[in-house]
Amino acid sequence: MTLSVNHKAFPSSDLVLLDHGEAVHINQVESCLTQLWRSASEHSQQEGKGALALARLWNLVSYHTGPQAPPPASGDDTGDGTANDTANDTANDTGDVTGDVPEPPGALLERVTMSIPARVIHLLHLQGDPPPGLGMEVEARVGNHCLISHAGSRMVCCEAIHLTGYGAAGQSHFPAVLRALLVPHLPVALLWLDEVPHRSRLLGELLGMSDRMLVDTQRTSDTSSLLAVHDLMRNAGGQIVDLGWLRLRPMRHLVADFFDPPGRAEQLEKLEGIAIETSPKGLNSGLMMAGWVLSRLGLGESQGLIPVQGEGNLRWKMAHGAGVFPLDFSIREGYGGLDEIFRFELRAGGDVFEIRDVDPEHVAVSGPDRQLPRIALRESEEAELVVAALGGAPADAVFAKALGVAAHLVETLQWSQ
Amino acid sequence: MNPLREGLAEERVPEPHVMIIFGASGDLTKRKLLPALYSLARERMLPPNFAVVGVARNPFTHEEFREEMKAGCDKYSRRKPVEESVWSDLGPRIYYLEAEFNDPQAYLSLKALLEKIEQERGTPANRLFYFSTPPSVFPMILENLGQAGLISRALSPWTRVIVEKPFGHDLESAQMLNRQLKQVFREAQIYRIDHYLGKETVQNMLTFRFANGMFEPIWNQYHIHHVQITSAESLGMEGRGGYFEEAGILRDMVQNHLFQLLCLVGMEPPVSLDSDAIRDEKVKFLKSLRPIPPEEMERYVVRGQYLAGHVLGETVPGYREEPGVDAASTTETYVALRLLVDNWRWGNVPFFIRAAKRMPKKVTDISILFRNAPVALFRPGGASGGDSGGVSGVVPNVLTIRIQPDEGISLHFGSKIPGPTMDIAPVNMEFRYGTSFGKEPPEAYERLILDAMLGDSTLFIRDDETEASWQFISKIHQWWKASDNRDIPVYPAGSWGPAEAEALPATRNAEWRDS
Ligand SMILES: NC(=O)c1ccc[n+]([C@@H]2O[C@H](COP(=O)([O-])OP(=O)(O)OC[C@H]3O[C@@H](n4cnc5c(N)ncnc54)[C@H](OP(=O)(O)O)[C@@H]3O)[C@@H](O)[C@H]2O)c1
Repeated sequence: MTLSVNHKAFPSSDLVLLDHGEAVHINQVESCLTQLWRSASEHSQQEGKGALALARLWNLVSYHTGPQAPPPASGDDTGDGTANDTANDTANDTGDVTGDVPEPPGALLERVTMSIPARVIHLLHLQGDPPPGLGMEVEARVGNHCLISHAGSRMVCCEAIHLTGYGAAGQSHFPAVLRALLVPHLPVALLWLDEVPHRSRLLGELLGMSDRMLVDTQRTSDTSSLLAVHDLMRNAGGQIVDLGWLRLRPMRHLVADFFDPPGRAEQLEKLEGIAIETSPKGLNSGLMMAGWVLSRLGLGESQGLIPVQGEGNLRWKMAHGAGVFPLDFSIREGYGGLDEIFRFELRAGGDVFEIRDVDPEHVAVSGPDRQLPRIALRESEEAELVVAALGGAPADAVFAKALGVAAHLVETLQWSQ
Repeated sequence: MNPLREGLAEERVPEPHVMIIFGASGDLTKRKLLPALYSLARERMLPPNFAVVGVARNPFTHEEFREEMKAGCDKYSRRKPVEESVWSDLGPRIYYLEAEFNDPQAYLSLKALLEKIEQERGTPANRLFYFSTPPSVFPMILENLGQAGLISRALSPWTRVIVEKPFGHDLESAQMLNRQLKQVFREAQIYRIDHYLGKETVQNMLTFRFANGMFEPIWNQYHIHHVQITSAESLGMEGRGGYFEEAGILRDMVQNHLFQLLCLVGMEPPVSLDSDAIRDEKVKFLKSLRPIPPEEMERYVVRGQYLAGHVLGETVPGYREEPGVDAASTTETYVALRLLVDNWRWGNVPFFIRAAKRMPKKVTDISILFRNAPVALFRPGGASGGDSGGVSGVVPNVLTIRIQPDEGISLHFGSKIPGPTMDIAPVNMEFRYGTSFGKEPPEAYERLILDAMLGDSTLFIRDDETEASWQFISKIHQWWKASDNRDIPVYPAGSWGPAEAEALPATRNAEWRDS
């Protein structure tokens, strides 16, 4: 066995990556991990790092599709009925996502396991045939990440298993392989790193094995993914955590702060309009913000929403009380910080409450009670969001309601087209 | 009610407010309070329009104070060095006011500064006062705050106060302090801090006992032989001799920290995790401690004072040679107690607790020693017996909860040594925080300050709790005072305490565990 050791420095610790050099057969994964575990212990002792501890609180499964596998696919993905189903998955799953994955899943999960020890299982689906000579449709590689804190001699290791499925047939092995590799009695989190597909047999099967599923509605600018997540919520409600929603937390706090002073909350009853400006990538974030405010006010899900579309923007008219108020979206190119929202404005009771980007990390806040020309909007990186999603309770009724309204906004748009 | 707040409060970000620290030039502010605020800011747990005002006598400008606090965070915070992106946000929200605490004018300046900050930052007048000063000035601060109209009993905007230890030096002074605080605040506005309760391992006591079905059924006199709680410190006075002379270890460690640990081990399950439900149970437990009659005090309490000796490879002076200490001092640097609890759960199970300076090492732990198996198939003893047919080595089962260092829980039990004979060796089953949860636990002050900001008083001490523990502890002080001419037992620095203390566990045929 070859063992490669690779050190990476993080602020308060070192990460040692131990890799079993070559691909292994699925049924050898566990024994390989044990060997690797022994090697890690020896390595730790040689380096005088003291005792080694294997830690895991979760089975953390990530799924994503990658680029075409080399060499180019020889062709026929459609075979029997099963393969047809999974071929549909593939068509949905690939989409335009590969360019959007902000950090390679391996690196992302390394960072996550620094806070939450886990057995990590990466599922990578590649189009096309397996490399010549592999002789299997699923390839497995194993590794260990060991975290050594600078402060002490503590060395905590987590295992990582990389499974690559080639073509529709390879993908169809994932559920069964996963069942064999999950650590029993530990909860399973599924981190879906692709756009959420509308119907997917694979997703259904993986979800059936999971206690929590992490999606990201901001992964794509396609608004229909809100509908897909909304569908998922209906089937697996309490399990779903949306990283896109967690990313909006600092912005939601700022908006909520406007309405704490006495008398301000009542002004929300007199909503006169909402205007949101986002980058193309931030459209779903903007819709979730609108969904949030409207749902908190008991509006949106059944009210007469009339979409009016124009150049580079979207507009809804919404009946509220005796009047009608506008909900305006404008979309422009640029980088609007991690949430991709440039401006959020709410008009109510004769006042304007606005949060506007000064630069990607700072916003100006202006309302009747406060004018802050520049404050930091500390948004979370993806790894921090994943940690938060695994740490907190999954069921979030406020999210479910906000998503319901956001999905309804998208539906009305689709009807009008 | 702000409908947009729903769900956000559960994410534990407090409402916008200003925190005002009295005694901001002191050690605690620099070492603990600002580093805690920095960590909270880093973890995005502070509301964006939060601000801090430091108040003390030193003539700092806002900028100088910020620099001083940044240096403190750089040196003492959990994540060093300070991240510029976090500091550039938090730094400008830190203000300073130079003030004599007895000067009423200073409080009007404070009021004006607070109003200005609240106006600029759009913060409702929610205020969290932190008394990080010697307790002697609390009454002065309270009176002046009241006169300046800075205290309100209203629920919104809210006013709260965090009060540092020591909370009084005996029952009478604690009662007096409670009266003074409650003249201006409601009890729900007062947060008496005991930083031990901010430690994860201490909080885990509640989870450990009440979230696991397997321990509670054996957590009683039928299965537990006795309990030991140790808080040992390898350090001596570290320049705090003057303070310690007045306090002694019984006031400094036992009345507050160790009695809190004792309550968590011994209390009944609360009816809910609501702050009052938990504190009701703690008070009930403290009230069931069997009072020690003065004539029997010596059989229940042993004090000691360290002599010169060797600790962790260093030669160290005796207590009476420490700066600021009287050469004929009778202040105790060691105390051990045998406590009995008059309730159905504990019957005659003794709790042995000890706290001391200049011990061989720093350790705080709780050990629950279980009764031996009812039928003696195996002979008690240490290692293998060796005589014919020998099966030996039975050791009592011990559950140890380590508070510091190496936070965790271990279970000590006997296991058969592999081989043809029936010999038993003690083995340990270990759970360590550091390795089971990769997550670094927050500092105690982070958790406690955040809780006070959120209005959650579960981990703070209620008035009747302080009084119930002083009620017990003051009796010991009174007895010592009455018998002060007697020699105080001594122990060499670097040992586990005076020989006299062995008599306490011996009453139960037990020994102190060398932690
Ligand atoms: N340090 C710790 O680790 C620790 C741990 C637990 C509890 N505590 C408790 O926390 C409190 C503060 O501790 P500390 O270590 O920070 O104490 P410290 O270093 O002595 O600081 C006391 C602070 O109070 C100010 N002060 C005292 N009397 C004053 C007056 N008449 N007018 C204006 N300012 C006055 C001091 O200002 P000047 O600098 O101008 O004198 C200083 O800022 C104490 O009650 C202590 O028992 C401390």
